[in-house]
Amino acid sequence: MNGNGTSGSEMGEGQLARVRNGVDWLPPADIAETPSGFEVTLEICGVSRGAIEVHAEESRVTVSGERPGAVEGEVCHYRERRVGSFRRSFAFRAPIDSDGIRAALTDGVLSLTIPKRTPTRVSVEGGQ
Amino acid sequence: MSANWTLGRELSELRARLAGALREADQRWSLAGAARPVAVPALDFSETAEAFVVRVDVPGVPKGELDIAVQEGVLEITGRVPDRDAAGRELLRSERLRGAFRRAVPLPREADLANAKASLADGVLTVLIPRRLPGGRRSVEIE
Repeated sequence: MNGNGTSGSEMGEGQLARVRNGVDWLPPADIAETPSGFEVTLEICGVSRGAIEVHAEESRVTVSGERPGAVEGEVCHYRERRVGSFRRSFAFRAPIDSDGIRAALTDGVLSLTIPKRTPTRVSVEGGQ
Repeated sequence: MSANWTLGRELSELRARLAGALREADQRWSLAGAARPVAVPALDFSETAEAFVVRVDVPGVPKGELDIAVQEGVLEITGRVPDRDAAGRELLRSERLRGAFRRAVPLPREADLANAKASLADGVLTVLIPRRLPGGRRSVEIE
């Protein structure tokens, strides 16, 4: 837990190698909370919709995929853009409705809308 | 392939890896909600037999917020990430680019900047600068 209501396998302290958890790079993310849910946006440029996988389980949402690397016929002299496999995992402090998650990819930004699970009300029968 | 060439390439790869690691470290330990004063979008520089290629990751930046200029052999890319602050949302974590940015790439002499072409797809800005044909040298016939 990082004190911001989110935690994830890659969000702890320590070595980057450990933090990366076996993937090549971590897409930068913003996380916002609204009364009805969470909004997560990730910067994943140059990756097609089909190459991104979003997985939701309990209170955790994981985004993973692969960004293509070298272009054939090109010699790269200077490289800052991260390529290869990526994964990020987010755990939320409130229960989420994993069936209601919506994902959209626009201009290299993946937007996830994650609704909170509304508690079910059970009326108590009997008594007076 | 000469030894110099290999060394140069290894150095540039090392430099890029270091830049990436530093940026990643910055992401990891940046305070939630803290706005970074200057955004630095990641950039690649490559070449093919026919052209030089500059690619910049500009996630969430529409065409209208990008400006590409060429002056004295330098390609300059400036732009702005549109504000995305909205009422009723509490930002728990902020790692993405925000604000204005500028990147400049000095190009080799043989880059034909007048014929540079740019395209934007999936958040990647690609600028293609054709290599000038070896036209500076021309044989003169003796009459």
